[in-house]
Amino acid sequence: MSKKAKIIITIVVVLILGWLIWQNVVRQPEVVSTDPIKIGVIVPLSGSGAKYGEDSRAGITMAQEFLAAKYPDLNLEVIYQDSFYTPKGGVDAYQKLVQVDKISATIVGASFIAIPIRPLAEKDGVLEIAVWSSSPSYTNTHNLNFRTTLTADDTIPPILSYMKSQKLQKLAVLNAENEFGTSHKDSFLKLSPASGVAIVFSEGFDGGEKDFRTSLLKIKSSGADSVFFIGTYGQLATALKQAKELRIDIQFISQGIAEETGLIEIASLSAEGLVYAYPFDNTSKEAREFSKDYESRYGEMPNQYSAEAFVGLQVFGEAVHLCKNKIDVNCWKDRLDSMGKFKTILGSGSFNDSGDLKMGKVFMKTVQNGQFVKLVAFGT
Amino acid sequence: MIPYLIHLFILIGVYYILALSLQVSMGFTGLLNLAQIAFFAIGAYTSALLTLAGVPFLLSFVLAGVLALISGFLLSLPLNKLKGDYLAVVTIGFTFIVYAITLNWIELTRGPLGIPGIPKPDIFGYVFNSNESYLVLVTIIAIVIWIFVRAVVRSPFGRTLEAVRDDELATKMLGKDTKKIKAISMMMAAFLAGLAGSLYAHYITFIDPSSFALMQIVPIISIVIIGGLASLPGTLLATIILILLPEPMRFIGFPSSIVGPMRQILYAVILLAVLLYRPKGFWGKVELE
Amino acid sequence: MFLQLLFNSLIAAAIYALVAAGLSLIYSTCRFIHFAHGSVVAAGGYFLYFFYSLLGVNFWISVVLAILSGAGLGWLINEFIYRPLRQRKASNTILLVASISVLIIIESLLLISFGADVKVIDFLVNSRGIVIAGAVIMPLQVAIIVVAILLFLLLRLFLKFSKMGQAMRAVSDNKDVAEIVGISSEKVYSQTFVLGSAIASLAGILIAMEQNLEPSMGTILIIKGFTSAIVGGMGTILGSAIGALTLGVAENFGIWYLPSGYKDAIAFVILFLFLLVRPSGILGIKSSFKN
Repeated sequence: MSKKAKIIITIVVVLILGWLIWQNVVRQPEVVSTDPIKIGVIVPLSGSGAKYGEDSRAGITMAQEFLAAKYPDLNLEVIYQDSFYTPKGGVDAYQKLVQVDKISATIVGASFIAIPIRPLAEKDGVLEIAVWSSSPSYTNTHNLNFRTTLTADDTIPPILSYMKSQKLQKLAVLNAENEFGTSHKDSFLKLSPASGVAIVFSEGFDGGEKDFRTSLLKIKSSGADSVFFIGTYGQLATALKQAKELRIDIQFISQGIAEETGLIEIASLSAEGLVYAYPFDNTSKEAREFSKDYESRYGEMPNQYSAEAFVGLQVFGEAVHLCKNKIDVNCWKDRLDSMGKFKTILGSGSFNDSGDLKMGKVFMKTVQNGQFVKLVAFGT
Repeated sequence: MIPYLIHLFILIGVYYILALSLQVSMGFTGLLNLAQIAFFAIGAYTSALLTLAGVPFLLSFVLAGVLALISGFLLSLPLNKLKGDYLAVVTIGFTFIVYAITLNWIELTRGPLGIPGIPKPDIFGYVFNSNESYLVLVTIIAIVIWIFVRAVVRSPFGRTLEAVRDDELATKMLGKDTKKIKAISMMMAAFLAGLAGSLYAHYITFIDPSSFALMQIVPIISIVIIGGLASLPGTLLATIILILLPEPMRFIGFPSSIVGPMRQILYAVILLAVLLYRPKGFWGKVELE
Repeated sequence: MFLQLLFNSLIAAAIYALVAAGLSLIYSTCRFIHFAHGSVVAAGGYFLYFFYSLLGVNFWISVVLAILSGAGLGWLINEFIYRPLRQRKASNTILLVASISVLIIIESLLLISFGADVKVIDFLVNSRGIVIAGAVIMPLQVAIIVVAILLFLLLRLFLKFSKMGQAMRAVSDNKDVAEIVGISSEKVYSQTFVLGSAIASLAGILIAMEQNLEPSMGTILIIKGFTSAIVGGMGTILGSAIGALTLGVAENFGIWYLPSGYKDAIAFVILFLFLLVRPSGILGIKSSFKN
């Protein structure tokens, strides 16, 4: 082996050794007795879903303070890791949190990310709380997995009622090709026949899709009078804009993804008249304090994402407190399962047998003059 | 920290096998075969789907390699008369096609939803559940493959491969069936890449098309070129160095949205530097032709 | 509906043609596939975003600045990467591998600088489409098609009548003979990169306004552009146009019948088929790929 090669190898080995030493000696090894309980938060911190991650972080930060005030001796450490809003990113984030940070619980945003993580968390004995995760199949088995979101099966019926009241009978479904999108499509397929609504067209699009014109043209020629759209707020905004440009005047319907200021920024006038189903009322009695606080801090009203993230950490903190601040995943699970009816900013309700938090109600909202308002004549 | 090192070394093992596969076709036979990611994907999906359908791991593992090998054979047919950059472009095209299939053949691969919950290897009752045991498995398989490749490379067949790389026309004139030789080389490379794919799938337990996009070939090419063409020890050292090198970035505190692209830049820059200043790589015997 | 699909095809074809033109031009003189061309397209769009949306410079001045910056980027890549490699007698395989590295570096830099979320250029926000015989087309899209056609005409005139253009054609036909008559091939390469990259930036600007910006858009665009060039006949401007038209039509008519997720798959399959069966493209450009 040449001399140069030997030098290079030596340098590399020294670097690796130095790094190992730095990790174990210079960085303080954990003190065992007052070990904090670590919970990893896997949400998109960059990319197309970054706003959802930001909202979640805001909600969780407020929940940390809420818990610190209520239970001063609760020792929680929250560690964030970017999921990049892809399943692969979420799995990588989970692996790092488990292997390096040694988390005992995790909060995951989005069902299509929470679902691939579930078997891993079960194997590792890590409690998983999913937020803004509406695909029913996340809890088709219940072990260590919980969620604070109402599922697609809860969201679709109010939409169907709304459609009936507006005499909309021919629906097109345009959904992102992931668990989130397809679960809503499947819910519609399941529930619409009973309401007399026919699904005349259905197409999926790639997670990164930006051009919906051809799909919109197909929808136009299918004779649909309404389209249910599931994707990111950015994609919904683009679809609204392109429909307007193509002069396709059709009623757009969506759900929680719609309520982001970014939607209005991108779609502007094309967003007017959009109708969507929403599970969180930030003006309700339970949420008023929280909303006031949130708005003064972050300059905008809280939405479903921040609220569910807040509740996610809140219930975790409650469970840990009830288990006397011990790291005992089975105790936490039992506490959550047996929590009974309680109140949070989302409303009042409890965890059901599948680990779903059935709390709050779904009502219809719309975009009017660039604002998100409740559809007064419907719901609530 | 140790568990994280174990995680890194498992990845080193998998990528080492993948790099060896590229070494066989590129370093020893002179085929700029950029389709290794496609074979990697075929191996990963085959192994995942078979084990989820109840087929025992060892059989699935071997079949992953076999299916990749068959694809390698199919790809070698049209490649026979092609050279250099044109061959590279066709192999790139093949990678696109495999990617498009994994993305669109939803009935088989679940498309963008990916395949979650891939089971850990179960060999005669022993389940490789822990990362430590998985590292042992990967290391043993990597060593076996290394011994195999080394034997091939040192054999007369290996010398024929290098002869094809250095001067195909002369080799043909000496009476060798270069078409068959190149096909065998491609099939061997595909087989190894398929095995690597299986090991990858069972470790990560979740695969989706994005893991097998064209750009994933860049770290592998970098390893082979930086380590040096036709150098087996070079491949090992380059794999270790390239996998470990970007890791400190994560700990220095770069936000994770920066670590990914920074790692890509690091590989690309080192690759360019090698191409510019040391085209034989660090331990290579020949230059990229 | 047919007319609408035809419009959509023309718009896509115009964009692919612009990308393919620069790539073909560079290939015809430098004889290797400059994959990084796609990232120059993306960079062009991001330069516009930088000057117009971030710095607030007047839109038209931003366009000019973006095109100049893109041309400069292309020149830099040639000067610091390809030229030194050529001096070391690098084969075009090595140049291909190097260009893939450059593509990655530029795209990663864009990702780090601007973030992965989609960026919008809000110059023409609330426009409504023009309706022609039942099909809708946006004013911007009409502009794109017109610009593409104009550019191709100008390029053809340039190559035929200008001194620089003739030098490019000379080097492309036979480098050694061109050198004998006193043309510096390195100088021509440099000029080709500047011109090709300027066209790429223009394409990037148009795409940024028509759709939106994303760091990885370069990769898929270079695939489409490369496919167009191969299908039409790599190395000629006319070939780029024909290939782009073919691809645009195949994609847009194809996804009328297939789910729209198959769009890119259509391009891949067409590319693969042409590479295997007719690498010289529709026009039958013999000198493109050795056989």
